[in-house]
Amino acid sequence: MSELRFFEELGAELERAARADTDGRASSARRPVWLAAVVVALLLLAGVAAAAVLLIRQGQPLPGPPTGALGADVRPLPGSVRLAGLDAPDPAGGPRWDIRRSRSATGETCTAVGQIVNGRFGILGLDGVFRRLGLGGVDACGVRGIAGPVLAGARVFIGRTEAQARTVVNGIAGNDARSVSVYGPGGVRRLRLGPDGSFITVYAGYVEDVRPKIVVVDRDGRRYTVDLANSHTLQTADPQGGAPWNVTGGADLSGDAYPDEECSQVQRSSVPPEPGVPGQAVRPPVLATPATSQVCGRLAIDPLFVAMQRFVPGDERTGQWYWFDNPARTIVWGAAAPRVSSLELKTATGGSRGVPIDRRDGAFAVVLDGGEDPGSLELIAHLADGQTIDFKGSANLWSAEGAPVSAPPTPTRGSPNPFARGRGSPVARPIASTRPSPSDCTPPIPPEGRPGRYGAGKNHRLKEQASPAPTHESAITASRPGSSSTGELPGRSRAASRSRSALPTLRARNHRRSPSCSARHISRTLIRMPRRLHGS
Amino acid sequence: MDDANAFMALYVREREPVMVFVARRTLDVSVAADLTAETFALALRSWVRLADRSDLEKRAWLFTVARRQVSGYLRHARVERRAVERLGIRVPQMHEDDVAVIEERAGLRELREALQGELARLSRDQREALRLRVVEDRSYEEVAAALGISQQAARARVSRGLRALAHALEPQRAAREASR
Repeated sequence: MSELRFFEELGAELERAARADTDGRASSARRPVWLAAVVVALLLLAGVAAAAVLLIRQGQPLPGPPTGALGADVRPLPGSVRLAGLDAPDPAGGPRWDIRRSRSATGETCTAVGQIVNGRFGILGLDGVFRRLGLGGVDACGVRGIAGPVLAGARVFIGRTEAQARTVVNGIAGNDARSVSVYGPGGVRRLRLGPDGSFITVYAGYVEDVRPKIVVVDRDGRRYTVDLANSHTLQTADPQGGAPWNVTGGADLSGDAYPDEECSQVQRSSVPPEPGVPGQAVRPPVLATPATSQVCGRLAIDPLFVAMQRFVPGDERTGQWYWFDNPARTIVWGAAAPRVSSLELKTATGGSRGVPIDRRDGAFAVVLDGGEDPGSLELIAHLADGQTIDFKGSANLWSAEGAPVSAPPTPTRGSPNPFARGRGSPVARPIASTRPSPSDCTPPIPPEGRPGRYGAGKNHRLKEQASPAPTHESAITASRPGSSSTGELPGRSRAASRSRSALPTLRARNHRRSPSCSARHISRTLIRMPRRLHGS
Repeated sequence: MDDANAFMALYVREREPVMVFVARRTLDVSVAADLTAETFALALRSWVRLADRSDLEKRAWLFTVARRQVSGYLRHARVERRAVERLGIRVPQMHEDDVAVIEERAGLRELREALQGELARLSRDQREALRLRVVEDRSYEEVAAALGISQQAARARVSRGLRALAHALEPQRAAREASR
């Protein structure tokens, strides 16, 4: 193992320390005059070479978030932090950019972007001061799902002018990535891949102007597209119109989950939130939105898992979901493996409709009027090999205890089931009016689903959040995969802050036993920290 | 031979065995690199006491320290760096090529596969207890609360789980050592 650079470099450090300990003073006294002259000459030469860099002043390092504020899933392990060495150029010729990778205690891959000055990793502020980024600071963490890159997103740095702003497109495409291209202003950029398929490229301007689209091609030629300026959560329409429903899916990250276990959940979007604005408090989630339970299945074993269930006003299951007093709905939701090419849902009336699949995580859902009997529904899966499989009722579900189950958790009825024989119906509209909105019946749906809304969200991975003290936006973030964070750095003008749209979530991941997936489905993170933490 | 040369001779002789020893116990080459550096830094700081000992004794001393480093890391989920910091040693970053070589020489891939298989054989209770205690670094009090059992029972589950894993992996370790 003597050829390893690590051993050689560590050996040099140890030898230096050993010699300093034993004969350092003596050797210093014996150092010849000519050697001192050479050292001075070298310093002078180095001084000339580094003159440009020295113009950049060094500020106090940006601290990472308090250790206690980060969960184990976003806390970098000591020793796992390393630079990708990609050296992406800055559009205005500033210090080059790189991506810093690390691994969390739970095995997630984490990234942070920054610039390199004198071999140090940090950010050059608009005040011309370079500040190092603490090791604890990460932008995003993620794990590999059933397909596609581990992480893909962009980090936005605010400037006084559009030209000063930076959109740093970056991510981890994984070792099986063959190429990563980014489509943006000026055409396509084919990016150099670093360790673990890490990539980074930097644009001048804000993300909604740059509108980058990341295309990852893996070894088998499969393409994964992450359109940062457009699509977001897969959404499906409500049969009576109004707010759509968000469909979230992703790998089950609980420690005892099977590696191929995925989960899916549907939640109605609340009042559309305003895009997050630096300097404004993060809007808390609206709790009155109804949601299904989270169901899980194993996509290496089964082509899909699906739950078909009717929810009526008052339905709830403590700690899992609440239906509140929302009108009754019959919902079909789950996730499909990549080998499922399309889905079709047949209703009792003989109607048939295509069901869009979110190709990023396999999630799908259809929301029907509560008059639709879930027992009469039939989901037909068309597989890539030409095979067709019919599903009547819930199928291929796995419980939180890791065993197959025949149905999702049963609600505790808060009010009588209006569809039970002999009972009146509290739904606002008669069953006969059940009709999906036109936009929900228009196959084929684009692979990414329909565009959703951008919104600010609370980062539930942080135990501490939103200090009431005077705050200052920090560049330190910890976010879900594919999320972006808009940070305002010391030296980057606050006055220039403006509403910035966030980026799509590449892969929503849900923790089992969670009250709501959507609450964790963060599209943007603004962590507000007391000003004193920045040493300013 | 002066002290610095003697110390460097020890380093060159033992750096690989120490690294492999630590890597196989942490399953993480980066962590192993940090712990190896700390182990040799401690040896340097203790050189006055070590210098006159035999090579065998020095080796035993090194591995005892390395074992303690691993134990501390597993207990606190952080790498101790006191000795390297006091000596002003900058622990070099691991290069990608180095990681691959060390992983291969420590047989980490096979070990991870074996561990995965053995973990699947554990009872669900033991697996969950291990996950909470080892992966999530929860205290026994928290493990007990999460599992709805007493602290004593939580300790027993973790301990039995670890013992079962160690027992299951023993043949592999013996085979590896025999092949050297």
